[in-house]
Amino acid sequence: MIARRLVPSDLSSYALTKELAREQCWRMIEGLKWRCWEGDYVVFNPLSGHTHFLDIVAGQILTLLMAGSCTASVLRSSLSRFLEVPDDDKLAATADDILMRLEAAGLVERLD
Amino acid sequence: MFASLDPNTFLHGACVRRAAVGIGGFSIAISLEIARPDLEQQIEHLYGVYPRHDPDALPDVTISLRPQNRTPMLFRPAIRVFANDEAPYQAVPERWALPVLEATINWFVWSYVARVLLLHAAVVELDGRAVILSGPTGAGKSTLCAALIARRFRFLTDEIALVTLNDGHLQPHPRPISLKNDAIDIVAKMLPDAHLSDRFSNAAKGTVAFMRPPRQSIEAAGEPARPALVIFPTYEPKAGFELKPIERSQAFMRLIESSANYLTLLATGFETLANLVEACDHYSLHYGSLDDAVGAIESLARVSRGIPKVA
Repeated sequence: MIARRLVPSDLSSYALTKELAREQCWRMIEGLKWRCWEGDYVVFNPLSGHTHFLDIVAGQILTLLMAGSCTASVLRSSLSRFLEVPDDDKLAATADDILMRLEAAGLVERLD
Repeated sequence: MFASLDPNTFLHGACVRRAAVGIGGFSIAISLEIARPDLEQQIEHLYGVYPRHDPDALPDVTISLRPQNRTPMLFRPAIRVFANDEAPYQAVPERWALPVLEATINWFVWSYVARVLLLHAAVVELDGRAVILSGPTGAGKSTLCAALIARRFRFLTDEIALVTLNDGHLQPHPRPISLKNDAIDIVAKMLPDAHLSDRFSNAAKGTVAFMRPPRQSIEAAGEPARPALVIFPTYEPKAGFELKPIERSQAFMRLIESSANYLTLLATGFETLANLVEACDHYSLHYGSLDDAVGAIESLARVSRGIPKVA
């Protein structure tokens, strides 16, 4: 939530935003039902009644959160090892984007 | 099949004639509140071999065919079909009573049956393995069904697949098979002993006829089948033949779209459909030749999930 409130008006606050986003803790919504087939995931959210189709990367993030809540940086490192790609800004942007989408779908939430 | 109620029971000036049949777990009473012996004969032609339901027991639904006042749109005598006093369709000329009766029974099942997952699909079975044919109207499900019946598949349904929630098996619902346009003659030629209804022509829908399911399928309506194969057929005249395996996640999402009550069943619907998807192999089938399609489905039904081919 803090990351959303900060406006990157200068370089120092932008760096702070990135840092806070990196340390943002995430968790999976309770009660989700899911199946994984050939790398694709289908997930049922009992709170919304919606069923979501996730690709392997989004599904991997959800799988990591199934084990327990963790920070965005830990998620990113795990994702880096899973995808065998460098843990760089590009991967960070991808992970952030996926987390936002999962949050919008009501599948994950931030821990304050 | 039909019997008059109390001889003193007259509605709309006609003695009410009533029949009750069991169709794969459902009991359906048909109440004719109109004096049309020819219509009674048509219904008897399609439903006469179904097991009779106890006339004194309460049926799951009573389908009533009632006369309607003539309207400016319908100069000829009109009829309206009710399911437990709800009429989902407008009044139609009397000669269209049978197709609207069938559509009304379908509407009832789609609307009120909550103990099963409902899929818009046809189902046949071979050697204990059910084949689900899922696709929109016009995909060729009913014609494929009839052709597979000719190859000794057991018929379960041509329109509404009922997946039981507790064990995921397919509950038969062997109602008359709805055939349209060219399919009527194709099936009549393929199954010369088939019981076909009159033909009903309508500018919007073309020509429709109903085929009574084989007697063995009606008699086995109490025996569910285990899902083994899901086919998504698409018929296109003069098209080639293409059969492609599809991934389970894709099949799952397509089957959700075909379901009438997946959303209302919530987590139970998810688990039931996911279990069905895991139990099956999935293919898309694009075809222009019925023989090619039937041959492919027969081969897949025999070998799906590694079960050895039956000689």
